[in-house]
Amino acid sequence: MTRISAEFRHAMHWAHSWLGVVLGIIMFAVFWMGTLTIFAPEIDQWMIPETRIVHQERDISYDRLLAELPPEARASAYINFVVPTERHPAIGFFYQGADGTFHDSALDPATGQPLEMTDSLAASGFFYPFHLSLMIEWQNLGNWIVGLAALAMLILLVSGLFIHRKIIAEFFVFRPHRKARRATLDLHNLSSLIGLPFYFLMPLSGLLIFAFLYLPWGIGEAFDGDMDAAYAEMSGDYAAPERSGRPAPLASVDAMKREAEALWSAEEGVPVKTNLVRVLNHGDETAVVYFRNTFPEDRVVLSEYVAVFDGASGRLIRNFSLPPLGEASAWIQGAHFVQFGHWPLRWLYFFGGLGGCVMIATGMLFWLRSRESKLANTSLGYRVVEALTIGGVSGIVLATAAFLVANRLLPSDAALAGIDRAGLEVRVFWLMWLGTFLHAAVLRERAWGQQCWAIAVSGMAAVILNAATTPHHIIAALSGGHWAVAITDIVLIAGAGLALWAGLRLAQNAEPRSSDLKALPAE
Amino acid sequence: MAGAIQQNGPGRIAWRLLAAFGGGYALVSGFVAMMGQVLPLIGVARGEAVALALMLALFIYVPVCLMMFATPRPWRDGLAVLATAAALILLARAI
Repeated sequence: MTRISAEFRHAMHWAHSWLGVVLGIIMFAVFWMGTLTIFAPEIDQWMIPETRIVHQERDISYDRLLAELPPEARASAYINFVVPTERHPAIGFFYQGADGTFHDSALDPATGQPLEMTDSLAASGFFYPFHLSLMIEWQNLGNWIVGLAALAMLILLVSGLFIHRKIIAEFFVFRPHRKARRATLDLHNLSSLIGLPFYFLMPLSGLLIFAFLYLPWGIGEAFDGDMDAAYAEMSGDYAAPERSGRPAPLASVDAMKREAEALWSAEEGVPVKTNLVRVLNHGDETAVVYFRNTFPEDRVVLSEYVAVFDGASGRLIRNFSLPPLGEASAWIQGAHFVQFGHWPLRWLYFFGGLGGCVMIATGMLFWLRSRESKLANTSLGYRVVEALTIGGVSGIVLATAAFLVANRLLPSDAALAGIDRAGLEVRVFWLMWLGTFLHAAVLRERAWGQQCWAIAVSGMAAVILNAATTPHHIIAALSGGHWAVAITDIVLIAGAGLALWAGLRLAQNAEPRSSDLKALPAE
Repeated sequence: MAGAIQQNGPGRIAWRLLAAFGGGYALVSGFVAMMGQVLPLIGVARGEAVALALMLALFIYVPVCLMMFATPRPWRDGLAVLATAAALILLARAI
């Protein structure tokens, strides 16, 4: 039997340490934002109170919605409706204006009229894109950085398995009352092993979701470089022809929707509904209407079916369903998106995400603890990693809480130096996050406790401000069926309580830096 | 015992990283392209061939990175990664 050599184990240790230190903060930010994104629709309702609508099953006429569109939208080459669901009770609506910009709004499902909404990116517009790209849009650089972090996470997981000799035994070992370094490592091992399959699945599926971005040449080569053809064959995309300029009325979209759903349901053997109604080249004789079941309620797989109709005649021109390998890939991607209707599993994902945050944070902490006695007072590199770790862990949590507080505090017409209200909320996040790094650089270990206190205060402030600025305090939200709001408040209170407890523990355990003492005896 | 990786200077570590991430990227790009060209020859649809290749790509990329971090012969193995990538790309282009 071949044994793992000490040299190989050492190499894995090297890779594990340095990839973790260099990319740990990015991984933590991606995991943290991904964890919040699991409940993005619920946080959206909390941040945009006008969308706190109790969902009712109703037949929505897209013919009527299209007839009532404002003139600019009616002439749009790209009109998109997102069908309301329990988690997204408003009708999502966006269109591309004549100048190419996208306009995003929500429609009241009862009246079809646009909702006057709080100007906020909220979770779907900020946490979600942050999770994908760190909000760095230039040349998709953010997506590439996140992709590198995801690849590094897979390497870290595999290398972590090699460097731990007694991996099963370590799962059952957690000694919180031992010295900080030992307890940190125990918690790192425990949190790593407890969610290991989940931690593999997330970066792997995340990379697969963005395969078209990461491997364009490899994918395009099979299609002679024609990426539109690749999208069409692999995901059912349909590129509408250029507008002809000859007007033509649109056939009934509601009838097309019924036909699409009947086709899909017959193929699947159970009712299948569309999530997406898209009209391309509206009002032109080249118009097409596109339906997709992006997020099925009762299955993991994404976007199994696409139906495309000729807009003028209402004739079906394309009925796409995923082939077997495409379905397998879409299942893996669906397991990442977790949009299926399974609340216990969604909560399990949430706690899995938090477990991933603990794993990454304790890994970075252990790196610091291991070098504390040698480097804490002398090494600039150590101090940089220390400040980045504190700001990257408690700092981003505090910045998130500040984002929620700003959402409830800023007046509806807030604007500053050309920055609109939504932009101001985001600036609050960035400024707070930057501040936490500076705070950590100056106060060093004391910053942990202070930032925990600040998280506790901000979390409670967000709950109180929600009660003060909207009719839905926790009791009202619970009694009115606004579960999204109530649960967001409850999670905020629990998070504040946890931060308070952590702050108290840190204050109790405050002791002189070990580097100021003689080196601790070896464990 | 000092591991192989600690016996390296900055140049060899940089080469390991370049061959792991850059060479690995070229290798999986070539692999996806090659699969997208070869599998259709045996009747697999192009989209299906590419979907399969994409799902397998990470099972190649991650081990390549680990190998490049662990190998005691980084120059030779890094060149082997690059040569394999080039061969796959050329094969995909030739079909």
